[in-house]
Parts: sequence; structure tokens; C-alpha cells
Amino acid sequence: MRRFLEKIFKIKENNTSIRIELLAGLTSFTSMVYILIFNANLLSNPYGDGSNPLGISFGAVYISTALAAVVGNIFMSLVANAPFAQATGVGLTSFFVYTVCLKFGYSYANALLLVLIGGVLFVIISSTKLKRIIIRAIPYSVKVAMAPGVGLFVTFIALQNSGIIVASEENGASLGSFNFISGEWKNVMPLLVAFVGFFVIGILSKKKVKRAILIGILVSIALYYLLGLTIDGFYEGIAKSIESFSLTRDFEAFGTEAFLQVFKGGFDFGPVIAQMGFAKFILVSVCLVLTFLFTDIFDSFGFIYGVYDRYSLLAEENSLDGIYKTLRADAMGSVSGALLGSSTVTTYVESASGVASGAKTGLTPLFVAVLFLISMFFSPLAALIPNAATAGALIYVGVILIICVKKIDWGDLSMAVPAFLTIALIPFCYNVAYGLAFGMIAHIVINIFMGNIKKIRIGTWIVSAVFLAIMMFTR
Amino acid sequence: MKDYFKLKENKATIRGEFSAGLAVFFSMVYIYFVNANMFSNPFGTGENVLGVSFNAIFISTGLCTVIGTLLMGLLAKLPFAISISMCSNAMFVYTICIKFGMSYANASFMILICGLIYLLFSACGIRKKLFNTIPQAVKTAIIPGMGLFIALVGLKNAGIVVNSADSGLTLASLNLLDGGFLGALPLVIAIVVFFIIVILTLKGVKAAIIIGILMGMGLYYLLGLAIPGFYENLSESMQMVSPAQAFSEFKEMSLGVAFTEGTDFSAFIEAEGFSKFVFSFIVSLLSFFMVDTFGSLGSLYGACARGNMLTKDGEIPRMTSAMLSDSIGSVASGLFGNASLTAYMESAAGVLAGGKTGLTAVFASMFFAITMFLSPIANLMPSCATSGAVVFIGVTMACSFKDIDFKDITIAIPAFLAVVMTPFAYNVAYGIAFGMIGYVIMLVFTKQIKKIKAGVWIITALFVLLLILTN
Repeated sequence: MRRFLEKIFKIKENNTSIRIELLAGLTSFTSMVYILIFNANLLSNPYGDGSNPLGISFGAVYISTALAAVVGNIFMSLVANAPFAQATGVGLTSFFVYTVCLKFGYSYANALLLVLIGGVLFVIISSTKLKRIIIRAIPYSVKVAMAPGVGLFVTFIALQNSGIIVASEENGASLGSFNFISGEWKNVMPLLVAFVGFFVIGILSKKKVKRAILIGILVSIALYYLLGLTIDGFYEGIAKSIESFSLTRDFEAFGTEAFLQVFKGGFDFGPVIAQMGFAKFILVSVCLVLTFLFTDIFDSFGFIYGVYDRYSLLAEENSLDGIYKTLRADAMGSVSGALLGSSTVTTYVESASGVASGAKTGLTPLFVAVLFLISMFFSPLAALIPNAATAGALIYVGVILIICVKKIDWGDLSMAVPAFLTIALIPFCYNVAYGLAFGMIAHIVINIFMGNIKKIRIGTWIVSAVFLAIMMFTR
Repeated sequence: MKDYFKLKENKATIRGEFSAGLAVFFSMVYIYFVNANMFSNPFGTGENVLGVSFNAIFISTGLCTVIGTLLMGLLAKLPFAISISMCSNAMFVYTICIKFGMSYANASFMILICGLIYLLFSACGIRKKLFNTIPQAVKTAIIPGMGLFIALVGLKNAGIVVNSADSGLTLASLNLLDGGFLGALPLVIAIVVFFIIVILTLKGVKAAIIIGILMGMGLYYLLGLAIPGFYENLSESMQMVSPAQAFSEFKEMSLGVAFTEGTDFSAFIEAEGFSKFVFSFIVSLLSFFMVDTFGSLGSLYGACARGNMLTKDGEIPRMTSAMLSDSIGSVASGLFGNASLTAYMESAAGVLAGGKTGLTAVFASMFFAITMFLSPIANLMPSCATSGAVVFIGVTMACSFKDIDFKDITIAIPAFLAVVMTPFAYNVAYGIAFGMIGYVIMLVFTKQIKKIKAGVWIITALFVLLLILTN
């Protein structure tokens, strides 16, 4: 078994060990398992008031999300042998729910069909020469900014998931309350747990402890449940959230509501066409498919390239091959996800915590797949890992990724401007792909007016034009 | 004039300073409306909770800004402007008046007390010491953190980034099909202005910022021709506030209200009890003090660094006078019934436009003074035209990323916290707070506890208190 794994995943060649990979898989999994419940809530209860406008139940989404993650990670492991993990993307899912279904009026099955088409196109692109044209379209000034931009993004996600930063009507984002004197201690406790986790990891890595990130997560989980003693009704609340799962009911719901739903009602666009007219329907649908496709490609590429860049795994241009394979696995994940009733499955920025823990091969996502499989049958697992416990690890990942900001030549404005826009707009738009889009547009504008119009690659023009269309017609 | 501001020594010209002053003014003039709106219409529903009129705060804002900025020019001889802090006014209106339930006059009285404390602390050099104890790891990070913050402010003013209930921030709709051209116009202008400034700067044009802003304004009114009803709406919003009327409202509602009614806390004590009163009073003072001191000095530090104006020791030049200017201004704003004053990070637009001496600030204060009497001026400059320039300032500040040593994790962690918390918590002072806390924790647990200066302990403790007690 051991030999077999070592051979398949080239463990030794990659200078790693089965143990490191498994622990890294555990780290990645704990950082992203929140998606199971988050996603299930998002689709079954988008307004937070219990109304179910998409007509799909919590349990069905839960199973569908878990299965999609299992399949996606197996692809990542066997097709790409890459250390990243994938699952249903949060950004694209909220786009799926709020924009495609609720704003434009597509049914859940219609939307899945759009995701499926996007996924199939992505498979085609990643298997042909088109991938080169698209990936080379990204100019250096934008590429170099992807790692720090993703770093800020991961940090922003973690700060919000743990409640340190909260959405505010006035400023968009603002500081959460640490006030446990006139406020409630139970709201402040997770914030403190997140900070403790972060500093434990920081201090341990300063002391060169190898498994700093995993230890940090485990310490935070322990601390969270320990501090729960000080909060009335803390354990009862958790027990309740666990009880609400029912395996047979959930699987049944999954079978009738989600699985292959895309073929059951996906082609019936009647109501949408009646609502917006045929011409507009075509325009909007094309743009929506392009959004799923391009966001998936550039989100994943931005993240993967950023991490490779950080760990200097890109010795030569040839090593982009690894990235192409990862993209193919990502594309196959999206297709299978759509069949299982899940929105676009994509490579997770959160899995950078696994890479930072030393993951180098596809054994890591394989283990993540196993863990997702377990959590499918033992649903409470997902409910037991609090966001506060993994936030520290993700903020630490932000620190690691931002180091690449040094590669940017800030003295040269023609590089600094696209780079800065990329870095700033990835977190501010809450979307990696939009950050890249603004960076590319800046690159084009600057080169046109500085007399370097010939330097702009054809692909850059095409990709920027598609992004402009997406931003104009789908938001 | 040339001698007083040492124009020759600083290689500055009157014309250059004039256009820099104009750039500062344009980037900040929004404060007139934003501040007056916040006080007179805090919920955006038209309900006047605080009982003070738009006109009164309009004039009060003008007076405070003119005084503060003039002092900055004449006393500190720095090319930066001072105006009502966007943090302090929110605290004034939403926390102290609405959440705590104190009256407008009470809150003004507190601002006055704060102003006097700043003045005392500035005169004895305590504020300078406080600021200078900020460890280098955090100080360097203030600038790129502010760069991201100011870019966020610009992107939001332009409507490119908007608030979102689920993710905090998100990209705005650029949908021309649904939103129509009017909705997309400001956004397009902001982007055009940004690129005009970038390209002109690359081509070595000195007045890039001011040209960009003016071209944006021209384009705005030109494209307005394509939108039905554009000019009618404009002329409606341009209705002149009669200065005589505005001044009399100011005199009646705001001027000196801190003395006439502000010292009378009996209503609050009766409703909430004496101990709650003492607590709220101290908490309010603490938050005003920490947020304003570190916000103002942080902004000044960033702007000076941007203009290569820091002294050899990496300090703000003529720091004591600069602090005296904003303290005296804050005392005045207490008297005029307004929130406290702070140096504006937007005024870095002046440095980028070539402003080098206090004359820039003097010109800026002159423009602010004119606006008091000609209120439509403040409305004439569309905020989309300046927000492109503001995003550009963000880019130029981000270049300080290169000065942070991210390889040493004991420096990288406090620096990173300062960088991210500034924009995400929407507050420079919180960025500094989390940077300091990170710095102390990292040093304590890596056996470098002796390296932590006494001042760092004190400030960090105060920030921790601030986080626990307020917000």
C-alpha cells in the first residue's frame, strides 16, 4: 500500500512523505469543511427567512456538496497529482443563487445547465491549445500580483467568517465588537479564539515547529470548546445542530431534488424567455455561462499560480504543465458537480493552508476526498469544526502569500498600476477573477497610450473583452 | 510670502502651490456635504435626530476646516489639509448621541474637552512621544495599509465597489442594460480620470492629478448632455444656500452650544444613572483620543512619506506644530459644535500634484473659505472625478510595501495585521492597534520581551481597553 501510494503520487521525487501529505490533507479539510453547511444554507434559505425560493432542501444540498467535493478531489488527485483541494465555490454559488436564480429568474435546474455548459467548455479549453492562449493572456504585471491579492482575499474571508470583520451598512466592512462588557461574551469568544489560533501558528513557525498550522487549528478547536463552558446553553446549541441531520432523509432528498436535476428540468427555459424576451434571454444566458466559465478559470488559475509562485515551484515556463493539469481536474470537477446538483466546483483558496503545511502531491486531495466522504455519512463532523478555529490558519496563509508583493517593481508605474488594481480588487470585489480583469484592463490601457500597443497579446484583448461583457450584462 | 514659506529652498513656485492647493481642495470638498448630512440626517430618512440643521453644520464644517488647514499652512508649514474626521463624526453621531443617548450639545462639550487634552498633550510633546513609540514594523505598514484603504474609499465613492450584506464588499453592477447610462456614468468617469492621471504621470506631466480631475469634471458635464433630465436635476441640487441664513442657523444651533447646554448632563444622568454616565464619558474620551491621535498622525506620516518629506530620522517634520494645528482646530470644532479634526490622507493629492510648502495648505483653506459662501461649488465637483485621483494616491502609497521585511515572521505578522485591518476595519487607528497588539504578542512569546518599550505597553494596553469597552 505504502509503496503503491509512493509510486502513484511520486512522493519521494517531490521530497515529501505520506505522513506530511495526510496531515496537510487534514489541515485543508478543516479549513474548507464549512462549505457543506454554508452552501446548504445558501441554496435552501437564501433570504435567511426560511422561505425556499429555489425549491431544494438543506439535506439535498448538503449531500450534493459533499459528493461533488469527493469527486472533485479524486480528479485533483489522480488527474493532476496536485496538492490543492476543491469544492463548490462560495462566490460562484452566491452568484448562482442571487443573480442567476433570484435576479434573472432561472430555475435551479436551468442554472445547473448553465454551470454544466461552462464546465464542459472548460474541459474543452483545458484539453486543447486554447488553454495556452488564455493563460498567456495574463500579463506579468498581473500574474505577479496574484499571490498577494489572493493572500488578502483569504484573510478577508477568514476575518469575516470568524466575525472579526463584519459587514456594515455604512462602511461595507467594519470591525466586529470585542466589547464583552456591555455586549455578549458568546459573540466575542470566537473572535478571541481566531486570534489565539493565528498567534499560536505565528509563534510556532518562528520556532520552526513543522506542523504549526495543524497544531494551531487543533489548539483553537480545543479552546473553543473549553471556553464554551463559560457560555450558557453552548453545548445544547451544538447538540441541537447535530440532531437536525438525518441521513436517510437527506439522501432521499438528494436523489429527488438534486441528482441529475440538470437533465430533468434544465432545458425548460419557458418562464425565463417569457419574462425577458428571446433576444435578451440569449444575451444574458451567454454572459452567464461565460461568467461561470471565466470566473472558474481565472479564480483557479490566479490561486494556483499564486501558490506556485510563492513556493517557487515554477522554475521554468514548462512547469506550467502542472498548472494545466490542475485546471483540467478543476474543469472535470465542475462538470461532475453540475450533474450532482452543485454549482461550480473550483479549487479552494483555503486549501493553501494544506500547501503551507507542506503538501506537494495529489495524496493530499485524495485524503481530503476521504474526509469529505466520511463527513457525508457522519454529518456532525462539519458542524463541529467552528470557523473561528480555522480563521487563524487562513490569516496566517495571508501573511505567507503577501510576501510576493516584493516581486513587484513599485517604482515603475506601468507595472505598479495593474499590480495594485489586481491586489486591491481581488478582496474588494470578493472575487479573484474580477481582480485579474481590472489588472488586465489597466495593462491594456497603459500600453495603448504609452505606444506599446503591439506588445499586447491577442489573448489579453479577448479575455478583457469577455470580462467587460460579463461585468456589463450579468451583474 | 516667498520668504515665509521658503519657496526657493523647497524648489516650489506660487503657481505650483496654487494648483496643489486646488487638488487638495477638490479631493476633500466632499466633506462639506457628507458631514452636514451625517449630522442633520443620520439615518438617511430625513428625520433630524440630533436637532441640528444641515446649514448649521455646513458652516461649522467650513469654519473648522479653514482654521485647521490655515494653521497647518502657517504654523506647521506643511502642504496638508485638516478637516472633520470621518471617524470622529460617526462616533459623535452614531455612538455618543444615538447609541449612548447624549444630546448634541453634550457631545460637543466632549469634543471640546478632547481638543483641550490634545492641546495639552501636544504642547508637552506627549502626543509626539506616543506616536514615536510605535515600532518600526507597524509604522512602515501604515503606509501601504492606508494605500489600500484610500483606494477602497475612492472605489466606493466612484461606485465601483459597493457594500454587500453577505460579503461586506463586492463589485458594483456595471449593467448598462438595466441600470441605464446615468448609473454607469460616475463609474466610467472615475476610471477615465484614473487612467488619465496614470498616463500623464508616466509621460512626466507634473500637473497630472489636477488635469485629470478637471478633465473628469468636463467629461461629466459633457456626457450629461446624453442623459435626459441631467441638467434639471443638477440645477435643483445646486440651489444656493443663502449664506446669511446659513450663518444665522449656525449661530443659533451650533456656536457655543457646548457651553450653554453642553455641560448639563442631568438629562442623561437621570435616564441612565451616574455610574453609566461616568463610564460613557470616559469611554467616549478614550475613543476620540486614540482614534484621532493615531488616525491623524498616521495619515500625516503616510502623506509625508509619500512626498519624501520625512526627516532623516524618519519622523514627520515640524511634528509639534502640526499637532498643535489639529489640536487648536479640535478646540475650535468643540466650540462650533462639530466632531474633532484630523489630517486628511486625501491631502496627499497635494504632494503628488507638486505641493511642497505650507502655501499649498493656505491656498486650500482659501478655497474652503470661498465654498462656505458659495455652497454650489461643493456640489459642482462630481465626486467621481476626484475618486479616480484618490485611487491613484492609493497606488503611490502601496509602493511602501517594499520597505516591509516579510521574511522575518516577528515583523511580518504585526505588519500584515496593520496592512489588512486598516482597510477591512475601515479605520487607520484600528490598523495601528492590531499591529501593536501583534507586535507585543510576537515579542513576548519569542523571548524578546525586553525589546518592548514602556510606551508600547501603554499604548497597546489603551488600545485593548478601547476594543473591549467601545464598538
